[in-house]
Amino acid sequence: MTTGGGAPDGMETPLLDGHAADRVVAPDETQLADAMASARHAGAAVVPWGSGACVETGNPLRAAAWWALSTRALSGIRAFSPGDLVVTAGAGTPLGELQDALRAAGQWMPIDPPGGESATIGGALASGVSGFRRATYGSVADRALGVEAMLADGRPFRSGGRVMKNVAGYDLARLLFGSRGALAVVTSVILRASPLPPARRTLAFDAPAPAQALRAVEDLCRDRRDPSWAAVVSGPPARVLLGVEGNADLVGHRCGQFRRALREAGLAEAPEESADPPEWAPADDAPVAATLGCPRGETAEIVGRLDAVADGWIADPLAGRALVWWRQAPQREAVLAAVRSAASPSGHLTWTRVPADWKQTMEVFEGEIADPALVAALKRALDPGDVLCPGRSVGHV
Amino acid sequence: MGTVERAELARELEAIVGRDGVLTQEAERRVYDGDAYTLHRALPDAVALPRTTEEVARIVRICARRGVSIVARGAGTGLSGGATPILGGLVLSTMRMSRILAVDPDRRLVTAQAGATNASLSRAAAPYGLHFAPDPSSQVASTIGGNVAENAGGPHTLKYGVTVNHVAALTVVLADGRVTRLGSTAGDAPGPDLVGLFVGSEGTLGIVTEVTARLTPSPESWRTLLAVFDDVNACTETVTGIIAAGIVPAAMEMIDQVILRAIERALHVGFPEDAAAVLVVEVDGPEPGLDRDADAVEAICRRQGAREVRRATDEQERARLWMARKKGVGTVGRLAPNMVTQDGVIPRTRLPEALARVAEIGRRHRIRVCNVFHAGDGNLHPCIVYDQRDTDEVRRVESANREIVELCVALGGSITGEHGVGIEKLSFMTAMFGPSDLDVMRAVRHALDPERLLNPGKLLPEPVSP
Repeated sequence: MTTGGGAPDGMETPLLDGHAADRVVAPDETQLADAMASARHAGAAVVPWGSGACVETGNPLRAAAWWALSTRALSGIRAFSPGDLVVTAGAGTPLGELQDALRAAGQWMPIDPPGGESATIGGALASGVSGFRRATYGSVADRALGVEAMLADGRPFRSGGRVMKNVAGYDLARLLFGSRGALAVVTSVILRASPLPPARRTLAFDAPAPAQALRAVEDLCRDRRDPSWAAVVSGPPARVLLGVEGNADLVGHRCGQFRRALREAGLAEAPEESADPPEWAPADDAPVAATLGCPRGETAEIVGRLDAVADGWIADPLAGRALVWWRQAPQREAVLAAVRSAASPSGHLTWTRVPADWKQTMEVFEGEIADPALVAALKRALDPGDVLCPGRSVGHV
Repeated sequence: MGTVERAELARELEAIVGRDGVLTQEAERRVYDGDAYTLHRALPDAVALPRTTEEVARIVRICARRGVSIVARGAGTGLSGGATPILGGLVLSTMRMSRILAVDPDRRLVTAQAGATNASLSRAAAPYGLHFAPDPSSQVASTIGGNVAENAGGPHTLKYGVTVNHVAALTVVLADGRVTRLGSTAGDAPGPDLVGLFVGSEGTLGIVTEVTARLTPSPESWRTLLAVFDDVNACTETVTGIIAAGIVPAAMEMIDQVILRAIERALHVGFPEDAAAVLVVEVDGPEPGLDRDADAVEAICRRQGAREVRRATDEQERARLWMARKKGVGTVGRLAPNMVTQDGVIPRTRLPEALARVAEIGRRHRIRVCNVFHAGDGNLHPCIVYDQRDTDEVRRVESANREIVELCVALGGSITGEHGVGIEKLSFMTAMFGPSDLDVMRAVRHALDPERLLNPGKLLPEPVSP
């Protein structure tokens, strides 16, 4: 555990809305409760910190001082039973390390959260943000069979187990999914792995207009011929990527179908790409980004409304969502108005990345979000001292 | 509850749901004294039959004010006593809330009232080539609200997942009567996954009144295989072999000799009565690629020593096979007057050991245990048949029951895979979870229902007083 104020080797100083952490601690499992107690005694808020890929998203921290709790010492594969397709990983385990272990047994974890190979398992669960594989393979919560975590008062707990089906007690892994560190610190996750698909291909197409690109994919789905994942990336020309995964006969057949359908829709085929989808993240240099969730089939409309005003976007027509961003520091009111008017009335909106001064007078999570009154009640029950990420969750909880 | 109190409650409820929506006569209430877990029954003080979310909310507010506990109930097909009003109070039946409210094929969503049957969701979606994937054996009768409360599974959950994987949003009446909407039709609502918390919470956190469920494209095609084994171990090794080969069948169900014979005698589906076990394996998806998977499954079955592998040649034959599987437990009812079905889960690779030890437990206690279960999930459903009039046998059944559950936990598994804790497995929760695990779960419950009005005495055992 780091005892000084600095970050562990190789870790950038954690920043939240422009404020550096007052201290960085990186306890292992035996030190975690003490680290939490120290933070409490110091009157500091605690922000669990994995790869940092998603931590920028959140309402302003309501605390005078804060400690970053790095999960890097809570890392590593704890158990792996290939025959059961079950793997247990410490919260700080990078996804790349997990994939390496699984690949050796002909398996994989078909999740692709922001942060890529360096995204941590605990962070993927707590952030609740998934990549393009979400629609077919499920979120990390769909793959979490069990979880171990610690409350702010140092009490460890777990729920679930190591088996495929389990309805004993509340599913607390689900409660922590999307909790963004506000309820407990995830220490390890038990996950369901999958066999590596024998064949994986990625088809690429260019479309002159973004709405045309998205509608072409939505039409495939209307015919119930879903690709394994689909990504549409802003252009011009807008690019459609279709992941096709499964047994070799099926992949060959589907590729033929998709090629025909997208050519008929007026798209031009481009050379095939790498087998992995792009990262679900805004451009690094964009100061403003928003994620719009919508029911399936509405992505084309949303992107159609924002393509002209945003500097770039990616869209996931299978899950129903778009991530749009602005490169130049844009005018606040104009962006808020454009995004809000483009959002689906039966959807949700997350200001994924905005300047700190914007956050002072807005809610980062809008629309159909988790009931803030219930989240507040759960927060009071599990973290009565308001130690973990105070103010950052939905409704400033 | 005293007679006067009950009459007052009934009067208030009648103002909401009408005179025919409240049951207070003992004979009427008797119908609601439990579910398909028959070892324990208890009379509710009254039964209410609301039609809308608003009516449920008003009922809950009255009960909250009066301190009357509420047990929400669907069709009563639950197997763990979740709907048994062990402390009396009000049973709130969703049987008049059975409407499908909307089917949206483009969004792949169906919205239904909590009392709609599981099968009615799939029926409504069928014209669009879609279905609701969880398929518990009770699906013709069981309600979507009950499926949500128990996080119901079924044979096809091996590939498609359980109820929680298919719920987008819920309308819920909370313990104080407030109505809220959890989740989003847009998926993954920002904030903690409250839908995921509520699914499987057995009616202890709120009363679900409407469910927006995700629909799944119905498979273009399928191959259903029946592999016949002379040795139980060969059958369980085949299960592991298929998974290890990287094939994810839609379903993989094992039926042992006792149940094979019971099914054959009752339903005449052509099962070989001399076999030690059969394995039903279904692969589904687009037509191309199915033969490759089915051939691979067949090769593994034969390599593990299957004496015969049959393939269903048409939809009728497939339907007959699944009917036999789903009615399998029911046919066991012919073997003895009473039966208890277990729901333990074990890591799949421990199947051979688990089945051998279950058989040994049965022999030692001189009881009949038979197995028909979701082998692909490791979800055991040992059925113990007995005669309730034989008090010595009942004692032996109870001992064997406990030993089987403890075995599942010792093998790294769970006390329940899909039936729920209810009252049946309450005493086993401490075998699976430590005091602080249970304390955190109690804190979650307390946060949402501080007066413990919703399904009290279920899911979480009382803390041991110091």
